[in-house]
Amino acid sequence: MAGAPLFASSDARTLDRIRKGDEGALVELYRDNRAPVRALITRNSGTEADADDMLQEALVTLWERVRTGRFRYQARLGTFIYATARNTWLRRLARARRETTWTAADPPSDDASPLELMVEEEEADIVRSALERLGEPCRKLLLLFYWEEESMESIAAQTGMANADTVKSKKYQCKKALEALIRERMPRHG
Amino acid sequence: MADEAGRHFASDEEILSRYVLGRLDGNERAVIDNHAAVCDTCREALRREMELAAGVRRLGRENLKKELRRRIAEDSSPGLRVRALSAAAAVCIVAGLGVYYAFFRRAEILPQDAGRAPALANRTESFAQGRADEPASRIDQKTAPEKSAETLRGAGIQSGAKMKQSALPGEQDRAGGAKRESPAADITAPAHASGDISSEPSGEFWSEGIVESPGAVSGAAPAPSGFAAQKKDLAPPAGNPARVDDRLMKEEQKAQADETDHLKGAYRRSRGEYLIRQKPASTLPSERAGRDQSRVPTRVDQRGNRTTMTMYLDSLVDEKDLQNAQVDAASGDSVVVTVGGKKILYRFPSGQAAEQRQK
Repeated sequence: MAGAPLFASSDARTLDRIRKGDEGALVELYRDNRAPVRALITRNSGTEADADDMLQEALVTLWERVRTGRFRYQARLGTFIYATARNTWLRRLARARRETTWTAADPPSDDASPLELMVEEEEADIVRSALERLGEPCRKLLLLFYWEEESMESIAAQTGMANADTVKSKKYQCKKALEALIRERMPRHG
Repeated sequence: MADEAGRHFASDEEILSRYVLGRLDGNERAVIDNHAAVCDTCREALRREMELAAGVRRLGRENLKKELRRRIAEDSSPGLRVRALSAAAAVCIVAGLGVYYAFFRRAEILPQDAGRAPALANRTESFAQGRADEPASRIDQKTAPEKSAETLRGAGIQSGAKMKQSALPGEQDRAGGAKRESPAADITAPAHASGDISSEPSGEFWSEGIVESPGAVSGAAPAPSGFAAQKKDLAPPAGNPARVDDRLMKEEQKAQADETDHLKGAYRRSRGEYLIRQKPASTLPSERAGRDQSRVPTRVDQRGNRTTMTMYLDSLVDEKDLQNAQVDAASGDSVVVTVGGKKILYRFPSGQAAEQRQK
């Protein structure tokens, strides 16, 4: 990275740590970005607790994108985090005001995946609470598959299953068990 | 895989997963979308898969946020901060001592090298004279560098004169208005003296006293004299921010244990005289403004056996309290001033702290 700005090499190291699953990188980013995000949120009707929550949301979004290979480095990490926290906060304010439309200047594009935008928050909450009632092996397997987006081979290695086919089969069973739990709360599901 | 004819994919786990994980290319995705638009069963299967994936991701995000909060709390806990600061302070002290021995002690021990550190010559001379009345039995217990220093001092004043002579080039530089360039000068100044010692040829310098927390001194009696008693008194309650300073002092004392051991005798004999003065903080020189509120900026003027300390205080203490002020040695280069029920720790640039007090 000869000739690259200083922050670029620093960001590259941070991204590399996230790719390797080092959560300590998020703590450092939290420390580095706390002041500007706090200033932003508290200037815009929020409290310091709101600001910390937005910053944590932004860091988790960064983590998710980097770990799933969907992060594209277009600006320094601090800029990404600031913009994501800002958009998340604007969306929360809009929700509080029961606004459903967005102006062109404030697109809800940075912090939520298309999938999350397509699924109603309430429905996702029902699935999440059903997951908590699911047994640990199934919960772990589904988290590895849908959250960490690990391959079947990798999941097999991490869970001690024989091979990828075993994981596929177990995943199917877990999905069915989860859907049964969801149906209890959301009859139209399935 | 759904083809152009619109094959059903409702029971195709792989297609559903690849769709929600974004692993289909544009064409494949378009085929799925087109089919879902006309097939209720497949559209519903796709929707369920998306709900499931969104719910799992939400749980994943929440888990990560919890972990992040835990780590942040851990990272910012006072205990850890204190440990980190103490470790950093210990490193600084050890490094400082190394430099001290490399330059200052070297200048003291080897008269022929004194010219390399002219700024310290006066301090070294004063230090030597302060110990001249030490009994012979004490000298026998000294470490090798101490013995060398004693050898250097020989007939006492004479060796000091030699050192002063060696320092002349530096003095001449100052007389000519040139800035002193002594490698040891800046290094031996404590951190909170901001290196001012290097620009103070007359033995004047700034120091910043660290005020012991009010809780730790409530109803405090005047500080007892003596090194050991002073150490005990300065220990604030656990969790108090002042603990950092206390730890720093203890670390320093530990690191300097060998030196401090034989310096104590010198303190007892030096009987230095301290003059404590006060001024309103509003009269501080502009370059000293904006200080840390927990510190007391103090002008220190050391001349011979007398040290004048002018404290710049936000609230002036009673004249009576000032007259009853007490100064006690805390370590090799630290003194504690007790005034108006408060204890203020100072670190001086060299081992000239004296045990006794004065009004």
